[in-house]
Amino acid sequence: MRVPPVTVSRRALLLATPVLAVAACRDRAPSRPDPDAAAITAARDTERRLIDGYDAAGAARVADVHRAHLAALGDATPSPSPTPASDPQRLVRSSVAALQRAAIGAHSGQVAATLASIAASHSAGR
Amino acid sequence: MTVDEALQAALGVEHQAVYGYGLAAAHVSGRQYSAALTALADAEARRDRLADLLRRRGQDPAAAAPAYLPPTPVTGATSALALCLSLEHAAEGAAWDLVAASSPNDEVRTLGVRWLGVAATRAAKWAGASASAEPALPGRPG
Repeated sequence: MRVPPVTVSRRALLLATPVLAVAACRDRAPSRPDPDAAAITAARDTERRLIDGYDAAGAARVADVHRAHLAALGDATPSPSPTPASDPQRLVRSSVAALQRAAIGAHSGQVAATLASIAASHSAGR
Repeated sequence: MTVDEALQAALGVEHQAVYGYGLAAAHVSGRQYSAALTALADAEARRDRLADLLRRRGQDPAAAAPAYLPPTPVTGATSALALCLSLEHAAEGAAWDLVAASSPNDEVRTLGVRWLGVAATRAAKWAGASASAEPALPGRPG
């Protein structure tokens, strides 16, 4: 009997570009503001706070995970947060619900998937 | 990818998860056995929900294959844990696609967002058991 492999062929649509590449294009059209801009800005702020919080705690490897999140949100050269997280693990946990809400409501499917993925990473404790 | 295509792909992933977790559970014990059975029950419930969503959209849900071939032979606990991890990585990918293909605030989007969180959490646990590193962006293509 020939059986299909368990390894799944994952997707027909492969888009690995940062989300903000899309948002930046939209920003050039003044009559159509990006409906996801606020959600992206909020997610970026959280990631900046986490990066600075984990860096201050000497957890460089974990900070790198959040740098990857920030890069996926279109910010490859992060600026310091004015309010670094004093308890980054707590912020990771508390950010999940807001990120999931933002993902559910996002207009762009790619923005939604990126926010959902970051929420998933946070819910997994990263 | 359309919503219907993403739903069918997700259903295929859950058919495989049901088979794969059943296979893996036979090779682990204790807490890992319990975790595999919980994951199996979740996969069965999600499979049924995905099939229902497809029917409500006028689609025929794809049936499960009689059997599936694991990426590597499952001969003991280590290879069983590797299979569990690969099942959750496949789930992450399918959930990402559901989210990306769906519309804001609809049932499919909500299902995909929550599933991605569950799969990433479960993958982290299986990865911890098998000492492998997890990606920063679960489910992301590339």
